[in-house]
Amino acid sequence: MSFSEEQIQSIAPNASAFSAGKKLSGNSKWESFGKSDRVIWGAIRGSGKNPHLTQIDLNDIAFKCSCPSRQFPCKHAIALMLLYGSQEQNFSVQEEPEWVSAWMDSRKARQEKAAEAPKKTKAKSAAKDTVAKRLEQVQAGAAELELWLKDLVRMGLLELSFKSAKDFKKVAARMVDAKAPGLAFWVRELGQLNYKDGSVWQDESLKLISKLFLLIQAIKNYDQYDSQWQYTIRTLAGWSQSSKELLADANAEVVDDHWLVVGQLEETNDDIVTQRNWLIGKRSNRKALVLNFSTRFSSFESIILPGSYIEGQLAFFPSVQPQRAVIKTQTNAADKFDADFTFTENWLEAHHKKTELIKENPWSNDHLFILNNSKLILKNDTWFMADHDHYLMPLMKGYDIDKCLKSLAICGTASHPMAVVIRDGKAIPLGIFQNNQYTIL
Amino acid sequence: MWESFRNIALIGTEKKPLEASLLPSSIQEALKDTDQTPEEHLLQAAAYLTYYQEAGALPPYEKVEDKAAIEETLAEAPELPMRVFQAIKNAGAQLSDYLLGDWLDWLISKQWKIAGSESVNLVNLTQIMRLELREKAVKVLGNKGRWMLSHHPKKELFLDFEKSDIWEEGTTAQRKNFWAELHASDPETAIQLLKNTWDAEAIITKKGFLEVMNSNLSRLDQDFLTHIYNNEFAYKAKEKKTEKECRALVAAMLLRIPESDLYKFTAQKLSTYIKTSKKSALLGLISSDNIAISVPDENHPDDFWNDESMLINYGFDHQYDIEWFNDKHQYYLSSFLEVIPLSFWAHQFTKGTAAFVDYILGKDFQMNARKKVHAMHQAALIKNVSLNHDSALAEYLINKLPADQNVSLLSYVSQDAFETYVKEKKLWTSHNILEQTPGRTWSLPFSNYVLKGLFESYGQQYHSMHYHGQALCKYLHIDSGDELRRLNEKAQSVTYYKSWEKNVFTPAKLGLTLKKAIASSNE
Repeated sequence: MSFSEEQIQSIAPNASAFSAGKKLSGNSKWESFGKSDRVIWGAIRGSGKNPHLTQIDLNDIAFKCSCPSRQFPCKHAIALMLLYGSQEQNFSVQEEPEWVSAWMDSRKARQEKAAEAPKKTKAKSAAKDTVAKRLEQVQAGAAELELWLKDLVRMGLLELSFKSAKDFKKVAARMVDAKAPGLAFWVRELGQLNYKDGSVWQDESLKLISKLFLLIQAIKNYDQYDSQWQYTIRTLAGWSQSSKELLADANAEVVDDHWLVVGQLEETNDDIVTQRNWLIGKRSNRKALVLNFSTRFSSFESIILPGSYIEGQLAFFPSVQPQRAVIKTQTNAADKFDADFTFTENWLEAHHKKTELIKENPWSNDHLFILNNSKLILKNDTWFMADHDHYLMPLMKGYDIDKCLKSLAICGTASHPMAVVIRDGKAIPLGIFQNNQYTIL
Repeated sequence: MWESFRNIALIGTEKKPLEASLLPSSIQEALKDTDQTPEEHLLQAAAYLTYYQEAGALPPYEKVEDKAAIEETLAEAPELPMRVFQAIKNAGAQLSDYLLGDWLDWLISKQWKIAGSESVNLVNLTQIMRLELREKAVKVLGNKGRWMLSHHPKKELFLDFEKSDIWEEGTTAQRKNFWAELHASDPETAIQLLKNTWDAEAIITKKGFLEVMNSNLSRLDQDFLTHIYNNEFAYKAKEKKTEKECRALVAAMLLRIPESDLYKFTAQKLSTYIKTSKKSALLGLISSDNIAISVPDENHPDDFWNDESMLINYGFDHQYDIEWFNDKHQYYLSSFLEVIPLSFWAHQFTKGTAAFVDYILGKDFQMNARKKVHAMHQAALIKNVSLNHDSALAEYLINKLPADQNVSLLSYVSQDAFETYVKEKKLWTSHNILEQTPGRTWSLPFSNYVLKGLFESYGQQYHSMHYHGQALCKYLHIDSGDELRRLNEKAQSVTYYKSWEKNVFTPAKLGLTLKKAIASSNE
C-alpha cells in the first residue's frame, strides 16, 4: 500500500504538523528505515540522546512513535508515511526489529481478543430494563415536543421567525434532558434556519417539522415495530451506537470485501469533529459509512485515507437500511483494483433510487451513488453536477470551489463516472473514476 | 397545492383549519378515518405531503451545450517532476517563487503538462507570485488546466487568453509585460505593434512603454524614438509634465545609440568641452593628465550649456539636488554621463577607460556634503553600467569604490570577477551580495567556499541565515551536494544544528534536488 501526499495531508492533525513532517521526509533525515509485509518503521534523530522510533501498521493504519508529541499522528509518523509514499522502492524488506514486532504482536493480540472476547455487555434482562427506562424518558420528551409542535401550527409557523435562538436552545436542552439528543438536533436545525431569507425558511421549516412530527409518531409507537425498526428509531432519537458492542456481537452483519474509500467529509459541531467516510465494496457493491470522531483532546479512533483501498471486514450497525459500519478487521491494505461498481445512469435514476430508499426509511439522508457520465459545470455563478441527459443537481452550499476546479482540470469538458452523495437535495461530489483510477476531489 | 398548504401552516390552524380538498387524493385517502385534532391533522398531512413533494420533485433539467471533449496536446509530467513540485509547494513563499521559475522552465522545455490533480494547486500557488511565473504556469496547465483556469475566481491574474487579445484587451500591466517580452525577443515586431496603437494610447501609458523600452533598449528602436522625439515630444512652450518626462526618456535612449542624430549632435557638442590644454576656459578644471571636461558654470551659460537648451533637447529638469551637485551645470553633465556609453568618453581620453573613470571620480568633481567628500558623478557612472550593461566599467568600478557602494554593480560583472571579488573582500557573509550573482550558478570551488564559510561562521551570525539559504538554493553548484552533506554531518554535533538544518541545509538541498532532477531528465 502506498500513500499519496494528499491522503497523508488529510490525516495530519493540522497544517503545521504536516509541514513539519514534510521537512523530515527526506531519506537523509532517517538513520534507518525498513518494512515487512505488515509494517513500516524508521529511526529518526530528535533533540534527545536516542533517536525517535516510529512505526506504522500498514494493514490497519495505526501509528506509534517514541517521541513525546501529543499530536497524533506526530510529525515523525507523517514524515515516515511521506517518505514511504515517495520512495517505497528504497524501503527494503527486513526482519522486524524487536520494538516493531512487539508492538505489532500486541496489536494483533488485542484485535484477536476483541474479536473473540465474550460479550461483556450487561445481562440481557438488565439491558432490557435500561432500554425500557430510557425509552420512557425519550417518549416523555417526544410527547413534550409534540405539544410544542402542535402549539406552533395552531399559532402558525410565522411565529418561528419571531423566536430567539434562546427559545430553540431551550427546547433542544429539554430534549437532551429527556435523553433524546436526536430530537434536540432537529430542534437546533429549526433554530438555525435563516429567518431573514424570504420564503425559503417557510418551506424548509415546514419540511423539518413534518419529518420531526413523523419521527415523534414513530417514537410514540415504538412497541409496534420490529427490532430493526426499533434500533433505527433509537438511533434517530439519539441513542449512541457502540462500536465495541457491535464488534462483539456475533450476530452483527459482517461483509468481507475489498473496499474503496470513495470520499471523506469532516464537519465540526460543538467542538466535535465528525469524519464521514464513504466506502464501496468491490465484490458486494455494498455502500458503507464509517464515522470517526475527534475532539480537541482526542484524535480520531482510526485512520482512514480517502481514495485508499482496504481489504477487510466491515460490521454494519443494525438498521432498516444498514449503512453505518465499523472496520472489524483489516487483513491487508489492498492494492488498487479495477472496480466493477454498479453505476447509476443519470440523475433521474438516482432520484428514483433515492425515493425508494426514503420510502424504506423516511429519515435517511446522505445517499451515495456513482453517477455515470457526469461532470461539474458552472452556470450563473452556481456549480452543478450535470449528467449526460442534462439534468443538473446543485452542489451543497459551501462545497470547496477548489474541488470543482480540480474536476475541470482532470476531466476538461468530458464526463466521467463520479462518486457523489446527495444530501437534502444537493450534491456532494466525492471523486472521479477515470482510466481505471479513482481520484479524490 | 404546496403553497396553499404552506400558507395555512404559516397562519395557523386556529385561524384557518386545513381543508382536505387541497391535498392530492392519495393523501386524502391516507388521512381519512383518523381521529385527530386540527393540529395533528395538519402535521400528519404535512408529513405525507413533504415526502409526496420530494418524490415528485425531479432534478432540474436544463439543456446545456455539450462541448467537445478537450484533448491534451502535451504529455503529462512524469513522477519525478511531480515529486519535486510537491517539495516546492511546501518550501515557503520565497523559495517557491524562485524554484517554481526553474521548475516551470523545465516542464516547458520538455513539453510536459502538470498532472491534472495538481493544476489547481499550481494556480493557487502562483496567483500571488510574479506575472512572469503566472504566465509560465499557464503554459504547463495543458488544455484541461486552461479550461479550469477559465473558471478560476482569480483568472484575471493569469494571461489565459491569446497574446493578440492581451494587446487589444489586456490590462495596462498585462500589455506592458507582454510587450516587454516581445520587445526582448523580437524588437522589430514589438515596435510595429506599438506603432499601430501608439496614437490611441494615453500619455501615461506611452510613458510606461518608454520605460519598458529604456530597460532593454534595442538599436532597432532608433527610428521610432527619433520620430517621436522630433514630433510628438518635441519641445512645446506649453507642455504637460508627462510630455517633458517622455522627451527626457526618449532623449536618454537616443543618447545611448551612437547612430542616432541626437547622439551625434550631442557628441559633437560635448567634444568641445573636453580640453587638452592646461587652462580651462571657464571653470579652470584641469586634469592631471592635461585632459579635462570643462563645462561652463551655471552663472556663465553658453548657447548649448544652458537651461533652455537642456530642456528643449533633453527634457532635463533644471531642478536639481544641491546636496549632490555644487552647480546646476554639473547636474547636466551627470545626466550625460548617466546615459552616453563609456566608449564615447574613453575615446576622448587617450589613456582609456581607467583614466577617464579616475578623472571623473577624482578631486575635480568632488564636493562636500553631510560632512563627507563625495564624487558628484559616481551615481551617474553606476547608472551607466546598468543602462548600457557595461561589464568593463562595472568591473573597474567595483575595485575602485567602497564595497558598500558597489552592490548593484556586482550583477553586471562576469561570474569570475564576481567570485574573485567576493572572495577577496570576504563578502560571502552578506546575503545581499550573494543575491547579486550575475550568472545562473556559482562555480563548484566558490560554492564549496561559501558553504564552508557559512558553516564556520554560523554560530556568530545565524540571525539572517535564512536569506543565505535562499541564495544557496538558487546558486549552489549542482555538484556541491557532497560538501553540503559533509558539513551537515559535521553540524549535527553543534548546538545550533536545528537552525543550520532549517536555514541552510534544507533550502540548499531543495535547490540541488531540483537542479539534479532537471539534469537527469536531460541526460
